[in-house]
Amino acid sequence: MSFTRSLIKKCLVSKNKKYVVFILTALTLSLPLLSSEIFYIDFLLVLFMYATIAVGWNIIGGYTGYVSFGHVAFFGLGAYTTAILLVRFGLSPFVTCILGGVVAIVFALLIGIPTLKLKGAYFAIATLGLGFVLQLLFLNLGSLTGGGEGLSLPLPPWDIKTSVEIFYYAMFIVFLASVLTTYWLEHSRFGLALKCIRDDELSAETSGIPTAKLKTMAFLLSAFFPAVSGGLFSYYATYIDPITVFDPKISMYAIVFSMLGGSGSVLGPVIGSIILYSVAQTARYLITAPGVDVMVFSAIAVAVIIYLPEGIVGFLKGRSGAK
Amino acid sequence: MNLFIQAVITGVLVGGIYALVTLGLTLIFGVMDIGNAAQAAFAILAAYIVYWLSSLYHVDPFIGMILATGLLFVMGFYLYKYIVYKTSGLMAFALLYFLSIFLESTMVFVWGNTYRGIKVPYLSGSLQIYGYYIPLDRFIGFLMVSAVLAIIAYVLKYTYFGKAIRATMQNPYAAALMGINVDRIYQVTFGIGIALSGIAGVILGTIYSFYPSLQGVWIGLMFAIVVFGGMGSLSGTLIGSIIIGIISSLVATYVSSVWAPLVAYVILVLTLWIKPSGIKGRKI
Amino acid sequence: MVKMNGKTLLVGAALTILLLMVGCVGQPSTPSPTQTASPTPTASPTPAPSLLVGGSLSLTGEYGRTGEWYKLGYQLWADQVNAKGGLLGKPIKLILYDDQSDPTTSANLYEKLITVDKVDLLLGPYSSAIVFSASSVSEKHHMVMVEGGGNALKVFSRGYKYIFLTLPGLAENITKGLFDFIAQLPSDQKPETIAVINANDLFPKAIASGALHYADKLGLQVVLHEEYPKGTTDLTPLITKIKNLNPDVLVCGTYFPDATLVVKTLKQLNWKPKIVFLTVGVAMPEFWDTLGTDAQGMMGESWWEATAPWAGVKEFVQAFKQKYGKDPDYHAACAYAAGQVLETAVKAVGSLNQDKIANYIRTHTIQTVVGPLKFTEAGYPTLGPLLVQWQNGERVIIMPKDAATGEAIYPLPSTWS
Repeated sequence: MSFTRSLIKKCLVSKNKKYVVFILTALTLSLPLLSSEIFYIDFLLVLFMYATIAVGWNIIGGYTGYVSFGHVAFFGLGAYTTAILLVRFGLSPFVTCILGGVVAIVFALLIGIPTLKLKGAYFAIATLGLGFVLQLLFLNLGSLTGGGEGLSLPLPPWDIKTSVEIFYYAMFIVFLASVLTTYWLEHSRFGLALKCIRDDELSAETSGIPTAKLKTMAFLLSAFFPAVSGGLFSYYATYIDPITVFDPKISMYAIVFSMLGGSGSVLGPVIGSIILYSVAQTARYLITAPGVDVMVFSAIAVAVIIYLPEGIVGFLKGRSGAK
Repeated sequence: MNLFIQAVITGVLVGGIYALVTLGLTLIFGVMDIGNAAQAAFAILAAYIVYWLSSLYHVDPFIGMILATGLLFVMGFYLYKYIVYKTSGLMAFALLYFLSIFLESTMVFVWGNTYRGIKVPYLSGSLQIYGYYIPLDRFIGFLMVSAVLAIIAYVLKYTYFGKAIRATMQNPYAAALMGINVDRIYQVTFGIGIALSGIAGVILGTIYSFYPSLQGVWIGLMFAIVVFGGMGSLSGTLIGSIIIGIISSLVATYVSSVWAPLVAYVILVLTLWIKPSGIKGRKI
Repeated sequence: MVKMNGKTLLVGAALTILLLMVGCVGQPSTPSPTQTASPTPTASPTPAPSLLVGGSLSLTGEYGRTGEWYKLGYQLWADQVNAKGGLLGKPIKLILYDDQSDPTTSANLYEKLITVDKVDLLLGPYSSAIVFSASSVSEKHHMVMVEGGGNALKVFSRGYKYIFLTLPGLAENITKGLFDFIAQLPSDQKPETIAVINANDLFPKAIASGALHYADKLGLQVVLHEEYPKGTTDLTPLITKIKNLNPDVLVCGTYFPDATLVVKTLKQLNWKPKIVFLTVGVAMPEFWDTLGTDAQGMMGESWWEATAPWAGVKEFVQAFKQKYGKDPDYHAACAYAAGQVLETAVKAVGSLNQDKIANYIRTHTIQTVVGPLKFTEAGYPTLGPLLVQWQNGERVIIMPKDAATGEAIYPLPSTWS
């Protein structure tokens, strides 16, 4: 037991992790060449999508300590921006998904100014409401969004195998970019300032950290990546509607993935996503009864909050919980 | 004018239902400063228990309600005693949020996400007063909320237990020094809060059709009311609920039904922005 | 030690509740997890001895009740084919997943059916929005999907080549029978005003747009057209508003739950227009079970009745009753018909070549229990629905006149007794 733990610790924490990361990246990139099963590529693609949302969430929820319960708002906003620009103006989703990110940033700015004044559970409640508000708006503004009917996007012009591979690489790039961003954050003064805000906002403020500005910047950054992945998702799914892309469960996934892996760390959300998404999908296909996957999920979330609040990474680093 | 008055009547009655659902949340928020995100899930659970009791064993819904409320009190009591006490603030909110998802998915797993409704044949139809219609089921709900509010207010004001709760609410440390068993107060309050959601759930189940995912819809509304009314203020909850009920009803009548659900959230955001302490709350 | 006891107590309480919950499973109309959905071992390289037919259905969620009918229809069809020796000499194995009434889940499941389970033939899911999303997957893979559950025009206006509908008409045509009925009324009894409401979802929207079109053609004055949120639990303000406008006809683009909600709310406000027309709910026996005598006089569309004069209907109804102990409804019949269409085409083509199957279906008239289906280029048939009305616990066919089994109650009394 202790041997495996030290081994994992070595892989994750020691200096060797660069090689581990490199090998994993190479493996991931070559997967479509190794396997012809579309299902597995699709599986990883969606995994990357959730991991990206979790990594984005981690910037505000993990590093800054402002736990957003409505991150699906940004995902859905990105999905709709891309879909609308494609359907109405025929712009390529691979370009407009970035625009979706920009729209999410603008929206996050508008929302962040009033809500980031709130502390703890109040911020959580405000953001929880945010997801619902956007879902309702997109349901009701039918002339722009297609309303409850949703939007049907044109099928990608490639055959199925090629198209899955293209989306796979695109999603992987977005995922990688989000991880690299948090890696930079971890090692920058900006990230350090955010951690100060998380640990003691008042002290941070009195030590001259411009907390309001930095919090907002973190919020904007955390909104960007989920929106971009949402844009890719909409083109990949070829059909979106408000019920699906503003599903509160997506916010929940982001939180649980990050918390299990260890929020406030670079690899935490990634590890959490890999473990939990695999578990949930396996549960879902082995036991076809409805609700099982979510049941497994939420049970893990409750257990993590009680027994492993620092997540796997935190546990391995021995910051706490290693009793 | 007719239409306006009928809309206001509908709004007041619906507001009463909102208040009933939210009371438990307010109580828990007020006494122990925990945002109980699982409140609505427990309400739906109670509705299911009563539904099955009445459709399988023909237990009258109001007797079923007493059973369900008792069961929920026990659940809430032990839930706090063994799990929730370990956390506080944001973590407690997150814990209870995921607990609500767990309850929801368990209900989906066990009963399916199908619409159900508790049938109370003697409550269909409505009273007619001066040409205005007061749906009987909602009227009963409104009477219930008045009764529950009166009982809570009495208990808080005049009994020893109520005074202990208020003391704990103001300053748990001082209360503990005065010999109040603060842990026990918390456990019982949590139990009562959850039990209140049981009453609300059953009333809801007789009026509307329900399904497990409905809890997600209700919990947002409930937090909007608690924030708007002022954290921990019972009268604030009642006033806030009725205001939100009336505005929703007017929007549905004069604008469109599709915009009515947005009212609560707009009020939530505006309250948090302009006056986070709500209409009757203490400073946060 | 005390703590341990407490924990045991908690666990005990949890177990008791779980047992209580489980005890309730399998009681009145609880959708049990689908039995046929035993997942096949992932992509076995050895050729499967049976012919795999797959699909997803809304067995839980909003459309859980309706989805169940499709499952029964599909199963009966598969059983009957297998009793006759299978298709192309192989027994049929049905793989049906639960999409929880969610379009994206359904699309994922079809992806899985095609790429992992490697099914040979596809059957469709239920409800237009879900068919809309799922068919984009089957189309991508060039697989034929025969479905009896999604008939909004939008599904068939995308130029898809592999999707076919067995509901005998489009959602836009649902109210045609109603307006035919209105048109033949003597002029002094004709209604003059109409209100149209619908849930803001693909299928109800299509019904409303059809109703508005017909109303315009007949010169009825539309006093109100409004949408409400899908899955709503309270319609009092909307119905109050309509009552105030006092239209002669109320057309509601509903699913089952909101159809019953409309009737309940009408009763609470003690008002009825001369005609109340509701979609989906009315044709289901549960409508009367749920509402009792309050359902009296409610009109709706039926795509199929057990008394319909098509070939094979009697045998189908009999077999269905024998297997499940209840009468089939139109959803079950359309599901069964979807199977029949696939069966006929595959037999005629003699292979599982999807292009040939699609071509055959498009160019031939196929006899089914919902009537002889002739498909347009876009993939939908052009028969129309029946107009039915609940009278004393029975659905009476009102229109078309030559299929009528009774006289309409018209106008409805304006108050509830």
